[in-house]
Amino acid sequence: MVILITSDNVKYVVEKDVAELSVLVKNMLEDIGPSDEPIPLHNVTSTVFNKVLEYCIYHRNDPPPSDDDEGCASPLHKYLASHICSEWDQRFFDVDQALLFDIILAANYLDIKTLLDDACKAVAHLIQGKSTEEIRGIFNIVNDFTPEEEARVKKENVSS
Amino acid sequence: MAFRFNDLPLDIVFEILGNLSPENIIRLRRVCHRLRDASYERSVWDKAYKHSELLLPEGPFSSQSSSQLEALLVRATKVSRAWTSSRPPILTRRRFPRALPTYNFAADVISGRFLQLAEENGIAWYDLDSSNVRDPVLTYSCPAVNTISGYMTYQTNANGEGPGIVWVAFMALLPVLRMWVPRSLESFYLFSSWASSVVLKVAFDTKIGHSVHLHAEIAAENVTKIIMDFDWLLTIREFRSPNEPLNLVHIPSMTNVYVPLPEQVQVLSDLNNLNYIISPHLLFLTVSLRDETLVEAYALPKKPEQSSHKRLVKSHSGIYPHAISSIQLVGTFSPTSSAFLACRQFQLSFLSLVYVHRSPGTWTSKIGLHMFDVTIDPAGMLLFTTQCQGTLNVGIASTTLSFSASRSNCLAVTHSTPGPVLLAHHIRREGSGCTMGVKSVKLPEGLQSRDMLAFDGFRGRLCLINGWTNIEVLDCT
Repeated sequence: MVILITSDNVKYVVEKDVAELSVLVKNMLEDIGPSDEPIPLHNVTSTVFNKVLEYCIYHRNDPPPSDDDEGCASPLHKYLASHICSEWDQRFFDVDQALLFDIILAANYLDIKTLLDDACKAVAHLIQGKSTEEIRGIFNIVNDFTPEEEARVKKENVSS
Repeated sequence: MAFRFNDLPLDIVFEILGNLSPENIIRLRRVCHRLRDASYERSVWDKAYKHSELLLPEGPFSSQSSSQLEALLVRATKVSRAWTSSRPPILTRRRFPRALPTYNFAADVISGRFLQLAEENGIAWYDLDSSNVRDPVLTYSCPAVNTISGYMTYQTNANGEGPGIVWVAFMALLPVLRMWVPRSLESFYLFSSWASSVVLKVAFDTKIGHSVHLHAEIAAENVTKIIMDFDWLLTIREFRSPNEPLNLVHIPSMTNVYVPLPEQVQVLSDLNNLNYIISPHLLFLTVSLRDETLVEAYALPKKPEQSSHKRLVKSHSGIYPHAISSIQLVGTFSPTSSAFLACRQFQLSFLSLVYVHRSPGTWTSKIGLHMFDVTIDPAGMLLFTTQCQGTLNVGIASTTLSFSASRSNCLAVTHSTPGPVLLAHHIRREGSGCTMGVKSVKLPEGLQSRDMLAFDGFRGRLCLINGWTNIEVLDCT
């Protein structure tokens, strides 16, 4: 068992294999050796960590993500593995934007590659097929082009 | 205030964008400065390329810039729309400017781009991507080149040096290195069995210029056909005796190994039913019988120059339940011979034209297009799994097949005469399933296609021979 403390001082007792899905935690555990010292997670609040933990527990038995091209699995198998997004995952990421971005930041900080990848896919899903105006609306993005720039950008895009 | 999309660190924005389709990444250029800059980032296009479900050439390579990757993805999107949607492809037609001799030429298209044309005075290569297809970009002078089809072939990625490095092999009627022959002896040489197979190393490089070098010349008597792939050159000879093996040359090391003829081959006409396919580590031989095809696999030596066994030994065999008329290896994702021999998991697929619905008592049949995987069962037999199949509704016809494939996509065109009937087949592998979509291709008015030179699914380019003497290039727009 590993003790983790979030930035708002909530204490979690987590099984080691689940906690070690975070490369940050795994490295810290290796550094401090066997100890009961709690590990502080400075950049993660308990609201977000609840979600992260839910994901890690569900995916604890997944095979570790393989880095790029080498390895013995066929390219087709790797390709398929990278494309499967289960119903559970879809429901998991069906949250408001602020929480989704917080999950991304937490996954990035805790270094959980699969969660980061899946969350990025979920954001991409929000963008896919949307018009420029719709994207500005969804993400609250201010159009910072001058009218001249906008005219030029439009022209460039005609060719593509 | 809530955290916003544009507060996300840039490397995460790149990660997100890499999951989008090419059109969506490009559309983001109009949203704001930050996303505009991000949309040109190489890591975005690198990821988009790796994750794309479009038919793309092998890559991304570290040498490819973000704009090159973008251009490939945009092209693949257009090709997919033109060739796989329900709408007919709209093709622009270009005629190769020179009329060709009626019979004495051999033509090929390398990577959908370089038209390779052999005529009596040598070989010339033309760049079909350039606006000038009148002048060759490279020539190799050789008055002895044999211009009959089947006597010239090519292979990209020669010696594993990338797609622009090509082996070109052809049959020469005279020894090329000792080309000067006294006039008085010329006819003697021409009518003797003097012949050689010649291997050229051609480098297509638009930056530093194209080049061609003579790599090797091998004496070859009575050759009827040459086959080359994965650095191996197989010369098929006229049948003389079932005991005479075929010559297989490992091109980089110029080492000979010998391929025994299968026991079934007893007479000359049996050779018509044989197909050889070279994969990186195995040589496959198919013997088409009436309703089935015998397939034999021979392991190729890893380091042929060090191998003491110069005669290949049959390692596995099996029966495919249809007569195969032509067969090609799909993709380059092939197992090493040790993985193959150890029966470990691998993916080895073939695309082939087969005879189907052969009714009892007659030879009448239809042509089918089959994609099948090969594995080995515990008893050591070759096991075939037909992934998908379609029947070409063409009756008795002479059909040729040309295709491009990636890990999950294959775009193939079949050309059947009389007609001609052109069909585009789009094969997609998803999970354990495999689907095949078919659409017919309508040729522009006035185009009488006699044969298909090549179809390149990455460019969406179809090269045909119109009448007897014209090469036509059809590109999707």
